Amino acid sequence: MFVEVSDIKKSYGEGGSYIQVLKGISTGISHGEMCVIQGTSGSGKSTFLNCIGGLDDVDSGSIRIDDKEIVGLRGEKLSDYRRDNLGFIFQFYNLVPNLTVRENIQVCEYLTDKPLSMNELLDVLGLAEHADKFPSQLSGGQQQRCAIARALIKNPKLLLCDEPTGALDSKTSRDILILLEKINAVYGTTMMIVTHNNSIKNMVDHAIYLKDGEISKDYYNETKVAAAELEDL
Amino acid sequence: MKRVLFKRSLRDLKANLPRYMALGMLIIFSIYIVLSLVGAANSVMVQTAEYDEKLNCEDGEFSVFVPLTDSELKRITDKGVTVEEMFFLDYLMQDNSVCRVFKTRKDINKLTLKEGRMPENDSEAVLERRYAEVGNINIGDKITLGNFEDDTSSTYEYTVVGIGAVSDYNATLKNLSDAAVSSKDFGICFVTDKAYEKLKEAKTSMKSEEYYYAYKLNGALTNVQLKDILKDNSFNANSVDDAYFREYYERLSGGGALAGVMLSMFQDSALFKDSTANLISLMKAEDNVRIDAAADDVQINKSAGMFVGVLLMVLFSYVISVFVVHTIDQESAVIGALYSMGVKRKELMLHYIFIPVMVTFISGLFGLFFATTKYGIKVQMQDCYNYYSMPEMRPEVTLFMVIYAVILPPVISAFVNVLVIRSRLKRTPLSLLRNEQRVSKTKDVKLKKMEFIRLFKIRQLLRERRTGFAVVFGLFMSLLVAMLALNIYVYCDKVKKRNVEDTHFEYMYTYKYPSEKVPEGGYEAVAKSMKKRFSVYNFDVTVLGINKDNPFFDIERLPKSKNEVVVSDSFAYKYQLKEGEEFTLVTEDGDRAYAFTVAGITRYSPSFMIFMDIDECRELFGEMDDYYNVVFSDHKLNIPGPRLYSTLTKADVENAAEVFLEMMMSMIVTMSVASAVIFVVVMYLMMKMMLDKASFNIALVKIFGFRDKEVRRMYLDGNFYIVAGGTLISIPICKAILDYVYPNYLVANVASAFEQSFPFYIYVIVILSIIVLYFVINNALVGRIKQMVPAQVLKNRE
Repeated sequence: MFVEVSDIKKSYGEGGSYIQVLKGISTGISHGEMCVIQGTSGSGKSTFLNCIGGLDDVDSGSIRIDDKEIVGLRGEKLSDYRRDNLGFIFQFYNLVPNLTVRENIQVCEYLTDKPLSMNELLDVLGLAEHADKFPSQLSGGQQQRCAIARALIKNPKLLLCDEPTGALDSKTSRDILILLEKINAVYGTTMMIVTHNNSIKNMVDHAIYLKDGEISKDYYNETKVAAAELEDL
Repeated sequence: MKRVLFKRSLRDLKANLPRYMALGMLIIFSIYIVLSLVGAANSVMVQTAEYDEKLNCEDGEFSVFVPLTDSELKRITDKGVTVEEMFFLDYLMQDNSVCRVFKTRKDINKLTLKEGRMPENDSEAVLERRYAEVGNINIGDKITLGNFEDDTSSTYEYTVVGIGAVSDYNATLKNLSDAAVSSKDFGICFVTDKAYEKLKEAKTSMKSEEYYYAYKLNGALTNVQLKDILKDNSFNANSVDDAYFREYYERLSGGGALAGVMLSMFQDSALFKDSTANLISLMKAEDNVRIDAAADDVQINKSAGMFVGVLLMVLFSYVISVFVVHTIDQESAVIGALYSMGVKRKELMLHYIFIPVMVTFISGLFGLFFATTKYGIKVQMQDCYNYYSMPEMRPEVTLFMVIYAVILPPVISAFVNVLVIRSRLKRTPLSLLRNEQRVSKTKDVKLKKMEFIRLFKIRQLLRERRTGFAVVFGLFMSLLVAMLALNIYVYCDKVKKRNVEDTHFEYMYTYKYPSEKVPEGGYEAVAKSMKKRFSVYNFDVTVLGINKDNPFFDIERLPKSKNEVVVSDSFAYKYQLKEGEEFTLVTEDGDRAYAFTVAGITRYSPSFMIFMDIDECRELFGEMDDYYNVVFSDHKLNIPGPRLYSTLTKADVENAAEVFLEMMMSMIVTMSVASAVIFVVVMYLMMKMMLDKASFNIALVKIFGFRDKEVRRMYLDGNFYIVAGGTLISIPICKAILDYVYPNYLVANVASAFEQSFPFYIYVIVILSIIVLYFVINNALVGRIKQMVPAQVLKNRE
């Protein structure tokens, strides 16, 4: 398994405000797999993704990425883990507002010795003509494509997407999902996508359902459909 | 709503207390310094005027060859003018200082006592305050006047019964041409009329008695009218019983060519038979550098202090406005929501300027409070006390100062903040709700391909241009203060070094009655005292006729011309003269003007000197071929004191040269520290705010895998460009401002001038200090970067 999660637990607060968000989650994701994590609000799906991304500590358990334990990593080692392995896509894009599209992508290009071709990415993502624009001059879809390009430029082994279509209309959402599908096919990038959208599970290899901090369903999709054919986005 | 917003303001104040405390302290510190300076200046100016009134300060003074006769005096007093003798005798004291002895004054330039009482008998004296302080002489101590070298029996002992000051020696300068007061070397003393006469009879003074009269015009005459009357007075030379005068007079009477002598010695008289003009000089009080010197000196402190205070207030208000803008940007959606619910822009404007106004108001109150304590105005007045002979003055807090401290800062703060945040609050509710980023022209700059980190730094600088401007503004203000301190230091240091280096003679004897032959080992010269105005000050300029072989002045060629002269570089710098340029000097009474052309400039700084060939000088001023009135030598000459007006030794020059630096050192240190504090606080707050503003993005790039070191390079190190750029721009601008302001206003009243460039090492020190302070602040903020964790992205979004 490329991602191996064993019995991870995570809680917040103390006393009366104590809440256990993850109650011993164990699962695995293979290399090149597209995996969706679904669940209702407060089910712990974003926390789960953050723990895998090293953005949040776990109370206990183990997370191995590409055979390396990441629980307990601190400081520069944690930075290096993220730098060498991960790409992030957020619901609200989180582009640096005072950098152009090209410069936003350069942020992550800087982090690797072997980046993908900037021009090729801009072409693939339909951003070539917007390369010198600032985020505020782009539509939501264009901004998210820019965020995807930024995540992909360093050719990450694992792409973590937190509600990547959450702020987009259905047509743009479809475009973004087609793009993710294409990237997975072309670059073989392993993807974990946290979403509320129930349709997305139909286009991925693996779906995990969380409920109250526990996995309620964990299955492989044998009837995958292309993103272009998804309904009710 | 107002109540809710008010509560919110208080919470904001509480949440950002360290930031506002730091700014508040800086404002308190600035107001304290500025008000202390302005308050001290104001107190000195106002109370000097009050004392002038109370002590009946003269309208002017004149000197004569022989005392006025009763009828001559009556001729003046009948017109309504009040006149009082200010005759004096100079004594060399055991500590080598010179003590000038006067009779106690009855009507004009009256003595005011700091402690003790007036002399009541012949063995009591009152000393001038600074002379007593520097000489550590207290009430009850004894002083001895007389000639210690020749005859110890001719010395008189006096008990000091009082210590005080007089308005005509506010600056206790021995000679009007002296550049600085040196109370270690010169002071004044007052004795009873009887004691004075006794001293005079002993003939043990350094030189003969000087006959000065102080006058009050009482609106009866003008200075010119009085002078015209005095010019008509003549005296019979045969009636003078001074042996040296008699010798001189008789020699000249038998020698012919008397008109020239009269011109030089007795002013405008064309006749020297049995009578000649008695008036030597007449000087209005406003031209007298000894009178109201402290008040003149602090005038610039008042205006400069107030101006700098306003500038600092604008700076701090701008710094606060940067915080407010940051808060507004962060709260964009909240403001949009409030607008959409009907809250008016005016209400929000008031809400956002509330904290800046309160911070400046409260800081102003504290600043005022500290300025009025004994560590404020009083301390600043102490600098004046330690230099000028001032009577006891109380620190005065005027209504204007209260308004300046308490009303002006909040008003400036409100104005600056309204100006800066107005456009932010003008946006539509929807735009605010969406937190739409405006694309400004600056932000939209297209940058060429370059190394990523460098590109990122430039983008960050463009984004933070407002904060960057505050940093540069703060840097400029602190540099202005620091460079003023350095300017003072360099100037005083030049006075100290150059005055000594340029004085090659050991003794300079100025004759009242020159002997027939130049004393053995002496080099004769002809000195003519003239005047030249600079701003409101009328400086003494000495035209010195010297021989080619005079070894004490470094002059390659003395033109054989009556109007071509070599000028001292201090004179050239003061009046901005270059070779080939013309200038005019006027006689002391202002009756005659002489035009000269600068044929050369020579190194000489202790006083304003114009050098010319001695024969040309004699001819120009109508003197005899062998006339001289000054002798320079490299060793002490045996010249009887009564023949002399004054003796200037190299030691006098050295002592006087040190005074400036000693006097100004505390101010130099205070200003340097103040400038460093302003720089550090403004820089720290602004850089910290830049980081806080970018905290989301910093957390974001950390998510991507950037290390703290790289984040520091991206977000913190770029400020070095601001500081470096700001320094490179500010240093020449500050220097240019000071090059204009310093000689023209700050030391306009000083009879000294130098080339104003700083030695190279000063610039190195300034730049190194800035770099060191920058790196200290930069390092202090690294901890802040470490605190910004990726989890922040999960909680907020920009």
